[in-house]
Amino acid sequence: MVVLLAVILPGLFPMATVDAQTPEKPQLFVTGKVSDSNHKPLVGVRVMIRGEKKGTITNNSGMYKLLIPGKRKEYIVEFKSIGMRSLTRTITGPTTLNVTMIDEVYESEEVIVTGVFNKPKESFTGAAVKISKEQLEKSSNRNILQAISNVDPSFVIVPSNDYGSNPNRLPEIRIRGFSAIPSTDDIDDLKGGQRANLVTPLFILDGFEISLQQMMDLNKDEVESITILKDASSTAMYGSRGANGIVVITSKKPQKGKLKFNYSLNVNPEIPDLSSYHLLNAAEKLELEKAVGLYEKRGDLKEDLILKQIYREKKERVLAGVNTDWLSIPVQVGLGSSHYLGVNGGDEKFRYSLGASYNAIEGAMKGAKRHTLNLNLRLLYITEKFSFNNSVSLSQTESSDGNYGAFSEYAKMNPYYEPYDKNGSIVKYFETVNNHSFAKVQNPLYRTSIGNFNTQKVDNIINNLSVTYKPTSFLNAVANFSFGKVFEKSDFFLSPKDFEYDNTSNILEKGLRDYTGREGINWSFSGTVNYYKNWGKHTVTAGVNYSLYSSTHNLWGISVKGFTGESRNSIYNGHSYKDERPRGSHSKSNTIGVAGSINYVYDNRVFFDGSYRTDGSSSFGKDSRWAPFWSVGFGWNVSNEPFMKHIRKYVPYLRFRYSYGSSGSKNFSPWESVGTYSIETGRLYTGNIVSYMTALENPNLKWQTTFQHNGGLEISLFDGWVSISANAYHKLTKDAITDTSLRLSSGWEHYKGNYGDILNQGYDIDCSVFLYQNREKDASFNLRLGTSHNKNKMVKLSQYMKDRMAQRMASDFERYNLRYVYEEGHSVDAIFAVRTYGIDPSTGKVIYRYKDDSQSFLYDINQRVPIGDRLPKIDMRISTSFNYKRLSGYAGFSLKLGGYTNNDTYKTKVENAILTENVDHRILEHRWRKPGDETIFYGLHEVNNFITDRYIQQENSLVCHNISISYDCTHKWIKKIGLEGLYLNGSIGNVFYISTIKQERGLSYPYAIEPSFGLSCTF
Amino acid sequence: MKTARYLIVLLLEVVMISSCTGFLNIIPEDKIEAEKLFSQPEGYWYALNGVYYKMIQEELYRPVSNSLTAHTLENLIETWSPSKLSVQGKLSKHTYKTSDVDALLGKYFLSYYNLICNLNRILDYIEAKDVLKGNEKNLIKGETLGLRCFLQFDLIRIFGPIPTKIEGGKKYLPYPIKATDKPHLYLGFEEYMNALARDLDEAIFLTQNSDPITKYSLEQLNQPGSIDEIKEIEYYNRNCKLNHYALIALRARVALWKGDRENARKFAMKLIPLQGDAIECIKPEWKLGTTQSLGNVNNTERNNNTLKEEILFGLDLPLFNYENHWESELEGRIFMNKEKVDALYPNKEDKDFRKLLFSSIGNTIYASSNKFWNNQNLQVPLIRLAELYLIMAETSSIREANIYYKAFCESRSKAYQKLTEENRVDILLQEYRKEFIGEGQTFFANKRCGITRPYDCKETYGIAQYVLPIPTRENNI
Repeated sequence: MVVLLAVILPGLFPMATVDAQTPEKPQLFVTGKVSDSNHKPLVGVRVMIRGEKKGTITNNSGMYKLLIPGKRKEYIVEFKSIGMRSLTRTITGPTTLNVTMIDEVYESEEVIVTGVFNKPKESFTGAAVKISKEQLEKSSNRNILQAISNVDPSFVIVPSNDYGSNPNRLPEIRIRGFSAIPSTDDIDDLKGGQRANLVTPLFILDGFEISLQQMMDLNKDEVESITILKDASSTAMYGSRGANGIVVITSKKPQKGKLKFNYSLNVNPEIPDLSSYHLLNAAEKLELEKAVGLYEKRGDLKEDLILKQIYREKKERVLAGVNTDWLSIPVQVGLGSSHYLGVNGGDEKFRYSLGASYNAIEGAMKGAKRHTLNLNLRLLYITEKFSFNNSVSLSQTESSDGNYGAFSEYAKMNPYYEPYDKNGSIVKYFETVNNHSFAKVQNPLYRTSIGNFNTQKVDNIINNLSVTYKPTSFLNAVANFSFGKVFEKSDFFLSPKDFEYDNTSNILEKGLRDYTGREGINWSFSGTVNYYKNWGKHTVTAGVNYSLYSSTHNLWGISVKGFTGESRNSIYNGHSYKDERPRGSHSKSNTIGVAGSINYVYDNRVFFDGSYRTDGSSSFGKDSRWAPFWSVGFGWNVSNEPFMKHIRKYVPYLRFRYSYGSSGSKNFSPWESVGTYSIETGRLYTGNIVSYMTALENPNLKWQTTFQHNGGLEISLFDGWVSISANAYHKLTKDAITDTSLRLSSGWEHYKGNYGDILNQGYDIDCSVFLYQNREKDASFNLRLGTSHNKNKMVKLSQYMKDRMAQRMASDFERYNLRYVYEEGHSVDAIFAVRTYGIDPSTGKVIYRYKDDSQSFLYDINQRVPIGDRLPKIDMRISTSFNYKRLSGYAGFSLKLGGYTNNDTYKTKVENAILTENVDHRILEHRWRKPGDETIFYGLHEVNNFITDRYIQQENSLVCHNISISYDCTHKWIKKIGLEGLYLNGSIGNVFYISTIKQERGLSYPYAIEPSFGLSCTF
Repeated sequence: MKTARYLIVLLLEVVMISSCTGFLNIIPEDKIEAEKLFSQPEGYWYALNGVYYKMIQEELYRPVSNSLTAHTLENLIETWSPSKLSVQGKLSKHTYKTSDVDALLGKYFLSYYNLICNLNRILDYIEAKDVLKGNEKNLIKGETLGLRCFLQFDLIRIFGPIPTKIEGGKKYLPYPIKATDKPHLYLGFEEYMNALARDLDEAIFLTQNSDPITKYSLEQLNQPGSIDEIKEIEYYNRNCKLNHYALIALRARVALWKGDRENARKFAMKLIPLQGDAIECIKPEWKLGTTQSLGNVNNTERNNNTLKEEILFGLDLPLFNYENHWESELEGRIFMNKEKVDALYPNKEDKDFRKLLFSSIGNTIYASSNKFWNNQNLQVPLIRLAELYLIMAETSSIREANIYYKAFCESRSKAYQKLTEENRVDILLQEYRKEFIGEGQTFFANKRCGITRPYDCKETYGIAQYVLPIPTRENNI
């Protein structure tokens, strides 16, 4: 919100000075100069007084002189020009009136872009954050999603220690908390299954919905601004799609001017960050193995001798200097780069732009990559009353995870293993001793030599056409037609030589090639009519919108087995289907929406906002196919009140606002509300086709509705040196769609029903301070502080889900695996575990703490309690930036406090370490060895994998997410060599990570430090 | 020009709005909307065959471990020798209050009501839509209604009371007549049985002229396409469906359960009338099996261990992996102590061919039934002619009863012992025991008569043993 303010305030006051022109001495004329945003005079602008037929036009130097007729209290002067946003100014008599007109295609700074109705920022009652392209560029040099999150802490990317800096991982994103109940299949899943997708916000690019993946591959150079809509008053107009929050992306529009080229180059290395790993070296590891008695067998002299011999052989090798650094084997400094070439030109009426970008990400894991090629063409044609805007974009992304497998495989390897034999070829297995018997350990490097691959390719095409009709200054109509098609292909080959087939003797079963294709077609149409009217102190903005949205997905895949060699890997070289037949699915969903919005402002002091939308969707039950969403909002610009006049110097801006309303989200399959039958190939009864009910439909099934209160204020202090924006919200999701129990005698255990309430409450505060500012010297230094907090609570859960949780409690799996727990009264992100009193010094065993605080040596899953929430209580962004003439710099930090995490390193590499694999160095010091030892870890011979609070730790962390510096080299000599501008920049992402928890970071994929060097030029 | 463009946009909108309802009716390709399925006659057949398919695929009637009829119902009457700690072991000791038993019973309960829901959906659409006509309508409706009765009858036999010990005001089970998410009304025993009899009578009436089994031979009906007048394969394989005669046999069962011996006899008599002293089945191709008809019991190619010529209604199970569920003493398989077989047939000279339907498991102390031995055309019997003979022997005058019982004994190659009023129930229950191994009817017969110490059982039986509890998940919502 500060962002918004930072933009609004400087923008606001220059204009206020124009308004505040006071008549000097009586004149019969109004005169002045009209210029554009580059201070160049505008020629041929029509200037007239409203209500009068005669007007004038500006001359070659942009000057005008207009006669003021008669004697009125007020005159409204209108300025009009093709391709420029019309302006009106109120005067009371003859005066000098200089104005600046803004290019029509630019979004006005005073508007909140919602993608449906653009709302005047001055009278907006909702909570929205606007992020400019400059802010995006500064805050991250890589992924656009990370960049958003670095600016606004309420745009939460749920961290995943497992995936590290994997460029191909789609992150889990939330705005204002988690507000859905996962399906029964997902609650049992260790990682929560599809849970993340349920709350992914809606991404709207120029009015058209795009997927999270398309968003991730979006080229930052094409983005003009991003607006995040959070509250009901800004999301209600998205109806059944709006409840998870909306990210509206506005792309750059072609600018007028002569043909101009723009080229930028960035070199983006990825440096693996392995500083969190503290593994044992070869000598330490071997000694540990000996100490725990891996190489002795009492009572069996023969075996004992053999084991001792093995130890001696290993010892010799270690003494000879074998100490393989396994961590360094699968990683690299990935040398990625990105290029962008833009061509732009045109006049007032016809403009074009063509952009091409190529972004090659080379991951820190060898072979991990993501290459995206983007092409887009935009055409703009403007006439007096119409404007046509068409953009077409093509993109192709090729990605691969490489064939090195998981990073964790390498971290497990004992340093006394050597990956290559004397001849330099890769060893397939290492020998080890486990429980006094011999075992084989797979060399993960072997997989890189046998032809395995796993690649994905995505092709996208999106076309957006928008036609605007503007018959008068107070009315306009916009029609938008968008079409998008995505084709996704993933291709996977597992060589017949893979470890997987070691125990398979049948050649026809070895090897696997799997091909999956997914095709998605989306189109949408929307028509909007906007009305604007201003009389006296009253201003009304109103709009109606009608939209259609259709989405179709087809998926098919085949899996073929039986390959004779890694080179003969084409799908037709396979012997037979792995499963009975090809797989596939199809889904389609259509939505119709009708929306209306009204905004009323009185004297720029108080304002009212209301919107309504009704959505019809094919996904909903017959009996509730249409559902309404609405919002109301009020606001008060206190700073415009007369009584503020005296303190306006100290408090130039103060505004309160409140909104309440509803929005929905649908997260279930379209057929769950309609009675459907399945007909499956190959299922027959006495040769007859059979068909049976797939589920009991719920004809009353409807979208879950989120009711949200949002209160906010914006304040600017000390002549705008400090500005603060704050929001507090209460977001109750009612009728959450969940599996609802039925009596067994209905024939069905459960069906999808609207049964479940989830509450999210929180606040976000954004504060921006200019520490130093000097306009003359062109120098500034500022500090920004963003804070967000969210508290989640499951208010109501269906009996069926409760039963499922109870069933889970009874299972053995639950005792050893940390899964998401859904319980009324607790957060959906709460970590549940049995508490402990620590290690008994006399026995080295764990003492459990039951719910009633009693002690026991016995583990009981029913004694588990919520320990803490996975997400931080307070999530902060601290950033500072400076600007001095041509040089500017930025440093951004994230501070996360109060989140809990399961310290996996403690659990798997120290306490329950598998001693035949490499382990954390803490195992040497902190484990219990003899009675009297007061340690945090139990004895070396104990194994106890139960879920307890002993591994669950509170994490407070400070991350430096980006430091960047840029320099504008546009000197005179630059122009001499034919360039118009030249800019250099350097930055470094993920600079450091300081945490109160010592654990290995980036388990299956390491984290990377991300420096970047770039230059861009225009010519 | 501009106006034209504006008009096009406007027109587009109008077209969109007018096709609104169609726009919102979307069904994925791999599924079919009920509304669409039932808009043509084939759909009703598909849905009805779907119920048969599920009956044999799921663990109600499929002769697999932990299935209802072949495993659970037999353990309830101590047929097999399950390991004590397994769920089946608990069932054989009649300890129903454990969570694993509750879960298993819940599974059966749900399966039954799921099938009933599927049948009710067909009936709902027959009424709501006028797609089916004439004989086709009568046949489908009759068969669907009848099949619902079949399932509802099994439910009351399992979860309902001992018919001789009814609690007057007690509501026992729901009797759903509509596919809906609303809770179904629970009925008392009388109401339930009356509804069952009424629906079954209607089913019999509807199928009497429409079922091809009343006009064509089984031979013809088992060769799809062989009858000139009937092209659709749906009308064939009538003995794999609940046909008109099977419905009559079911009606006899139902009457007997209610204690209505008169009607039980009447309906059974319709199928196997007495001509003088000879018994002739109404469909002559159905006759009691003999040692000869058994074929080679241990030859998968030629065995006929389920006695197809006796099956009035049996489920078609063409591909069945017998070994995975029987034929071994491994945990989860269905087997018994050899002593139990010896107890059933103590006399080594006994020629009773049913003795041959047991086979020893290797050199162990166990034996298993090979009734469902791999057979390319396995048909799992649900109603057999033998049961009708036993019903006649139980409900007729002692003279007639002996005629039926004698014929039965002859077919089984066993020594005939004359029935008297005093001994006939005991003797007949012994026959149930020998006859219906793996078919679940023995438990029902004993429950029906309220026998405290069934033949060849060690436990004492009463309400606590015979009446299975309603699964907790039914009421815990």
